[in-house]
Amino acid sequence: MSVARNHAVGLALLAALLAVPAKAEIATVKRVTGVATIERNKKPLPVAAGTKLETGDLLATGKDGRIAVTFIDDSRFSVGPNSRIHLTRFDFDDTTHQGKSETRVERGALAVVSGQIAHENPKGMTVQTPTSVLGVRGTRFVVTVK
Amino acid sequence: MSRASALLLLLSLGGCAKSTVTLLKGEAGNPVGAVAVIDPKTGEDVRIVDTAGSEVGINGARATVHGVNADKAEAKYSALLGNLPEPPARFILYFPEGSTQIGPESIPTRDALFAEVKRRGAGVTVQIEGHTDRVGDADDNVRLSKQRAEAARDMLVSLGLDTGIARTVGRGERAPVPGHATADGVEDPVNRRVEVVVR
Repeated sequence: MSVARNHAVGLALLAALLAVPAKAEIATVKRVTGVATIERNKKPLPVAAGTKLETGDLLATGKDGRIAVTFIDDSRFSVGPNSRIHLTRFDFDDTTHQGKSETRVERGALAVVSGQIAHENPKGMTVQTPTSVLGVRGTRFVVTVK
Repeated sequence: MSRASALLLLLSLGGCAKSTVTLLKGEAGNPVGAVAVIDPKTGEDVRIVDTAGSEVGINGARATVHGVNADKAEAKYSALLGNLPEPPARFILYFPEGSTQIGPESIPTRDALFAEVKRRGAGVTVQIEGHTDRVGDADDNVRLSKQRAEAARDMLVSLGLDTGIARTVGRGERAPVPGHATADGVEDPVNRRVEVVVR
């Protein structure tokens, strides 16, 4: 294989790598206390103030753990101890403010202040638990799963 | 129901995860919102919870009110609520026509914005939102507002803002300043602006 050909193959590989769409940032971690991790593609990742979150991330805390998060639509979460919170869906058009936000509280406690998605569309934001589906029509509430 | 089947029912309920939702007062004097309990099978609302302090147990389409006391609910979840991030802060910057530098009247706002970024410290993010008035085509205005946001971002970065925490958004003509919702085609310099959201 010629050097030029090698080079071309290398470029094609690089192009293929670049073509994998990077997942968009949907939220930023503002504060972490105690034992807390993010699970992304089933792998635990360290989490700290400034960590950017993606759709599909799972926020997990230990018995003294807490995580505070602000989303790009201005909604905010406080995750309590012994919790597993799955960010199952978050689509947000930051020009129109239309979007969908779906969160699953698998266990523990989650405080929510809703943002632009719920403000623009009463059907835009839901929070699920193992036994229920909640439609968020605005502002501040707490969901627990024991 | 026989005693044995009643016992079975109790055991099966006991094994189930228990979910509750507690609606709280709005933040900083904002009105209380609402949460709908949705039937997972039909997708229909089965109950609207809209009284602050309502604590509701939910199991599928069944919702049971456990209590209604706004102050007690607030106290019960004080640690969780106390760990919510601060609300985002907004700053409005004005640029003279055709300029990528802010006008002199916006300099104190720019300084306040940098002070807020510094105060929030670790984890702070900055969203730079461009807006236009209603002169010209709506789609062109989305592009123009995005360019305005990017020019503002470059100016703020040249003054020391960390590029890694900044994102730009173009909202076009859809979000006028309150009291400045004009008819289409009307020039309004108040709406030609950049809003910076510090989160």
